[in-house]
This record gives sequence, C-alpha cells and structure tokens, in this order.
Amino acid sequence: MKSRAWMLLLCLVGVLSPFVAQSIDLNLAGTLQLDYLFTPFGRSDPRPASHTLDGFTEELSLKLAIDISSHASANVKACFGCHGFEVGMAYVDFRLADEFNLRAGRFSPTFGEFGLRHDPGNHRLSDKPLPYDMGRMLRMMEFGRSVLPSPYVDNGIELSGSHFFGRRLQLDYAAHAVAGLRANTDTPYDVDFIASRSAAPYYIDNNSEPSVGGRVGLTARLADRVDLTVGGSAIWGAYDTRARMTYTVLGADLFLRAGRTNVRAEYLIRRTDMYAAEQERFEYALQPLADGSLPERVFQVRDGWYVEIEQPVLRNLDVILRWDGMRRRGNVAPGAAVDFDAGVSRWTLGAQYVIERGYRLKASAEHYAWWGMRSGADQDWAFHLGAVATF
Amino acid sequence: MRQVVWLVIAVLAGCGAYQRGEGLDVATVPPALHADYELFARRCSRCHSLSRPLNARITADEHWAEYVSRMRRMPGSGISPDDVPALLRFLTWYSAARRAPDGGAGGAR
Repeated sequence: MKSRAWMLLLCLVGVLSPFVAQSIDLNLAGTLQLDYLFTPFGRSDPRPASHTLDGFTEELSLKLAIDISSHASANVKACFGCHGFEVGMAYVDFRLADEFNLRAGRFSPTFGEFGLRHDPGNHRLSDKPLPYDMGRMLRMMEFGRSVLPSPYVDNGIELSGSHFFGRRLQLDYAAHAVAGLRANTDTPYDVDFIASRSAAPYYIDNNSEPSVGGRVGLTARLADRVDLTVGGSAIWGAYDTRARMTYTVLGADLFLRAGRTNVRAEYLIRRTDMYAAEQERFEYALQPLADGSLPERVFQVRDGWYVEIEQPVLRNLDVILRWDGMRRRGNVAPGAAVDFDAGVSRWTLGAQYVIERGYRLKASAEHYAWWGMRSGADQDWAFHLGAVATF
Repeated sequence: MRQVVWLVIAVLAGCGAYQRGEGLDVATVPPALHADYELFARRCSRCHSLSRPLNARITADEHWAEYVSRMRRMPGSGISPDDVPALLRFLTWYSAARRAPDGGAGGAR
C-alpha cells in the first residue's frame, strides 16, 4: 500500500516535471497535524475503540502548486492520514478569464464553505463539524457516517469562475461532473464512504454515471471591516453499481467577518435511496405500492448543521465556540443501533494558541447529547489536544 | 471552581507574556505600508493563517503576482482586482525585508 502510494506520487511528479521545467512559479506547502482524542468511557460502558478514532491521529499533507503560465496552473497534493497515503489533489487548471476556469483531474468538488478551507492547518479546531466529520465523532459505527465526509475527493472536471462588481461584491460559481459517491453493491442501504476512498475495486466510477453538482456564492463587503458570504450548493448522482439508487446533497452556508470575529454556519441535507423490495431487509413496515408489491427503493434523510464563532482574545490566542449536530431519519435494517429518528447535538469549546508563526496548539472539549440510540449513554464527553505546523 | 479560575488566569497571563502571532507586529511595518498590511492581513487570513504567505519561499515579484492572482480567484476570497496593487506592494517589501541580513528594518522575519 505504502510503496504503491509512493509509486503513484513519483508518477505524478514525473508527469508534471515538463511543466516544472518551464514553470514561472513553484510553491511547496505542507501541513502536519497530530491530535490526541481522549474519550472517558466508563468501566461499566466499555465501548470499543472502533466507535471512534480515539488516541493519536496524524494528518500530513504536502502540496506542490505550479503556475505554468498566467493561464495555467497545476496542483498535486499527497496526504497521509487515517486512510494511509492518498492523493488529495492532482489537477490542472486552465483559465481563460476570471469568470471561466476549467479544472480537470482529482480534486475536492466545490461544496459548501468548510470545504473551501480543505486543510487541517486552516481550521482552528482539531475536529470537523459533524456534517463533514470523517471518523472522529463518537459512536460513528452505530450512528453511521456524516452527511458529506470531508475532504471529499473525486475524479472529474469542474468549471468555475468569479466576478467582481466593483470592490464590494463578488459572485462565484462552480459546476462539476465527477465519478461520484459509491457503494460496491446494487442493493445498498447507504453510501459506503470507505468504498469511495478505497482502491478496491480501483479508483474508478463504479456505475459509469457521473455525479453532478456545484455551488453559487455571493460575497459582500458591507463595511471596511465587515464581510458577508452566503452560498448554496448541490450534488446529485447514482451510487450503486447499477446506477439505480441516487443521492442528493443540498447545502447552505454563511460566513460573516466583523472586525476580528468570524462567524460560520452551514446546513447540509442528504437524501439517499435504499434498496427495498423485501420486507426482511427492514425493521419498520414498508408501504406497499398500489398493485400490492413493495417498492424497489425507499429513502433515508441525513442532515446536519454547525454554527461556529472564532474570537481572538490575544494576538496569539483564539477562542472557538461551536454548536453542531446531525440527524438521521428513515427505515433501518433489522438489529440496527438507531431508531427511525436518531440524532446528536454537540457543543464544543476550544482554543488555539500560536507558539510561533506556523506552529500552533489546539485544545477543545466536546459534549455530545444523543437521541434515538438503542444502547449506550445519552451523553458523552470528548477532549482534543493537538499540535499543527504549516510550512 | 476557584482553582479553575486561577488556572484560566494563569494560562491567559502566560499567553499574553509570550505573544508571537501568525502575522507581523504592525510596528515593524513601515508606516507607508500600514494600510497595505492591514488589507493583506484581512484578506489573506480568511481561508488560511497568515503564516502561509508569510512563510512562503517566494522572492520574485512575478511569482507574488501569480500567487495573489491565484488566491484572488478562490471562491469568496473577497480580493478584488483593485486590492491587488496594495497586496503586492506589501509582499514585495516583505520579501525584500526578509532577505535582508537583519530581517529588514522592521525585523520582518
């Protein structure tokens, strides 16, 4: 696995080397984050470690940005994290104008506000908001994955652009066609995010039908030190091997900066088809069709939100308060760990301390409150302590 | 509870005594560039920390121009074409000051 990742990276560097040879600019940047997640599970509640990625986790990213010309640039990013080595970016941008940029390769399709800052070094908390969580939330195996685990990386193309109306108004758009989320079966209950990030069976589209989506955002400079961005995003595609089960993800985002205070808020909702056809697959009764047969598919809805305030209190100390949550509604497989309606609400209080430019400590405490879970406690605590370096 | 309050006060005092932020101390920037630096600090800290551009190993003006141009096109960057000259003025000074043996007059390193 490791040697294959290095071979892939070497191949990418080789492919891009002719560009490097004649490039104007070349910039190498990286981030290293080490986080320790402490979950004080009691002796009477010996939940296994598989319920969360507690203990140490490390995220490393190395990014090479090459401005080939004023119209073309290439980016390659190699990451090492909980999934091992991955290529988080390998794309080429070609820009005709600010309003017309074509991206081709492997990249994070534009969705929401959080994804625009796709690097742990750009976030003040170690943990992602629940709707974007990728493994650090407690009881993830019971509750299931988040709405859209971040970073969401896929192969495809994206058309994007930005236009300024004077100095005070910026309009952005992005539209993409990518391989899409997947499940390696034609009778799925849900998107399989592990399959979406796994090399087996290969990093290819599992159903030959692209997923499409995009985002529109508007940024307004309300005053000299006040900026507001609002955006809306959507993704649609089929995820099973026969391209019959579809998913739709919608999102709305807001970012407000007033003075040195940042306020971020997002809402995401994903509607996902589940293969039905047989009552034995589900715990709750399926609604028969007019002819008495059972529907081929039913759906579940998973939505999530966060509101986050970042407030600098000293030149080198920020305090962060976040409220986030997630909900799942829909039929479940027999013996599932959740009810028809289940969810979690979480409060996080954290701080970021700058030791030196580019070197920071992050600490946070999280309180989880669950509902609709069939076992375990209704409330949990978790604590993060991490160090991050950007270079 | 009182111990927690004292602990918080001690931590804040410790942080306050050693203040090396991600950005520059404005006092180290030439007065003529204060407004340019403020604009830089505001626009370039929206998506990432200021250490990204300040630690970037960029020296050529053309390279900064491409770099800023690429960042300007990021969704929601808020960096309008009119902002670019001021950002480049600051970055050009910063690069030169950083290369100076003493870190520049303002100790920009």
